[in-house]
Amino acid sequence: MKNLWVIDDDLILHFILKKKFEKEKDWLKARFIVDPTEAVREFNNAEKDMDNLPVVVLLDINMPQMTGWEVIEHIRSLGLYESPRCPKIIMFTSSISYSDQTRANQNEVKLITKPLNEADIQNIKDYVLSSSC
Amino acid sequence: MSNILKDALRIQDMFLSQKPKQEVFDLLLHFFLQHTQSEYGFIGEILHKKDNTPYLKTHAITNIAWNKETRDFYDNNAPNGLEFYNLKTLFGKVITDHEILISENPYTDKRRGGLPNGHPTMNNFLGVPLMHEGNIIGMFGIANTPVKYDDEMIKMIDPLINACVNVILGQKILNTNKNYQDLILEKNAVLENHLQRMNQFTHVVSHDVRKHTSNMESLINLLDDQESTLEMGFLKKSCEELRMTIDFLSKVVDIENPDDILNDSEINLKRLIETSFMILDNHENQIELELDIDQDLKLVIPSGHFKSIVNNILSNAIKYRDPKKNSFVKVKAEKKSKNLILSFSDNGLGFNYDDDPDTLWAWKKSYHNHEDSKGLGMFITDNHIKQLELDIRVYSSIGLGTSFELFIPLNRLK
Repeated sequence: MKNLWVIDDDLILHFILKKKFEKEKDWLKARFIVDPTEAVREFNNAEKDMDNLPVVVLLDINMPQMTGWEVIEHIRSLGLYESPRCPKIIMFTSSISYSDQTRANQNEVKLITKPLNEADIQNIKDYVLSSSC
Repeated sequence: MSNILKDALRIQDMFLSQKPKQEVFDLLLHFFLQHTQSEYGFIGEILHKKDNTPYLKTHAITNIAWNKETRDFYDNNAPNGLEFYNLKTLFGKVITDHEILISENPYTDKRRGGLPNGHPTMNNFLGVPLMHEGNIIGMFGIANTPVKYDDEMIKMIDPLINACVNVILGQKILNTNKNYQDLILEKNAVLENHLQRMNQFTHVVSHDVRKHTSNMESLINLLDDQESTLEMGFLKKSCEELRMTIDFLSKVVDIENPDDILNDSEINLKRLIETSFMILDNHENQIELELDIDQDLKLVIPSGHFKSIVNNILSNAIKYRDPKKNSFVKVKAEKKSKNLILSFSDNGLGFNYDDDPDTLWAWKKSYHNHEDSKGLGMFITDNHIKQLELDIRVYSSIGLGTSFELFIPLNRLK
């Protein structure tokens, strides 16, 4: 089983992704998180319980509690980035502004712009499949 | 040099070295009184009420207050200037007639309107209009000389009178400039406010509105898998069009930083084009990008406008690709004489280009019968090109493709 976290405040997106991942139930375990601070708490505990961490995180940029960039900063500050066990991160955003793309390049993370099309979904699945811990 | 001339020069010096206005006029009045041995007096500017009747506003006035009421009035108002509206007085006569007035016996003078009770004795009076180009701009009045106010005395103090005219004129110009300055600052604040709201608008359009259309599109796609009806097809298409329109709008106004609009910043040309292309193509590989640009090539240019130009040309290449071909756009940068020529050549649909640049840029009718042709994009690009003082040439042929050549002066190179 591969673990995937979706961190996004948009419940409709959760619904859409659940549908899209339905067929992959036997190998993909997706967990949907509305509040990014909940995810941050789990990252804080990661030292004790590394196995709990997902292989890939789909991270929204604009969320009310904290932005996706702040989540990345936090993971970085925990020193998780150096660990081979650090989840791969795919950012996604509803906006099509340059600043997001520039920032994604600086942070060396993938950026997907919503709406997610079939190719994006396939890319995500492939990315999860190829990522191991 | 006579003392009067020296004093007149001193007044002008003070004004030019921007000493406080109050100090300049007080000293000027002091000189008027001193050289004519007068007891008291005033210097004032002539201003006009809304109905154009003139009135006097003093810039300096001797304190002749004779009771508490007049003392308070003087203390409260003298620093900002006293205003006199009653022109049925000796000084009023000067203002209305534009002529020098000498009165040997103010108390019996028919021209006077009477002094208030308690006003210090006035034995004689001289009122001089300060003229500039036929208009009265001010006046001064002095009283109680032990000698005699006459033409000779007026001639003697002429340098001071000239200095007085100059200072009042100078003061007027300073005030006008100040008014313009205030106006500019005020307009600037309004513009900044607009810009801020425009940025907010951009954010709302590019994120908040877009989020909902994205979701609608995804949901409809889910439904479409289950029940494919004609209505569903139209709904799907409307949704897609809506999202594309919003994308277009956000790209037009997308500016990372408002300073980018006007200020030069350093950009790596190759990276800029790769990034723009990535966003436009959105990983869909609708068209292939071939780059022939030195990876160290850097421009110093207002990046907001420049990005928008590149964006527009690239998005046209994607939009008007020929679905029957393996589409590509080749972007190449090469130096030729005084310019760096950045060329974008595609093998897309192409269009009929009759060498009249106005038809292209004004884009009155979209030249492709493409549903989402938006002339606005080219119009904005043209404006940006003009603002950055670049030049552009277009070559196109139906069925073969389109080529844009952007001429960037070499001084834009880092």
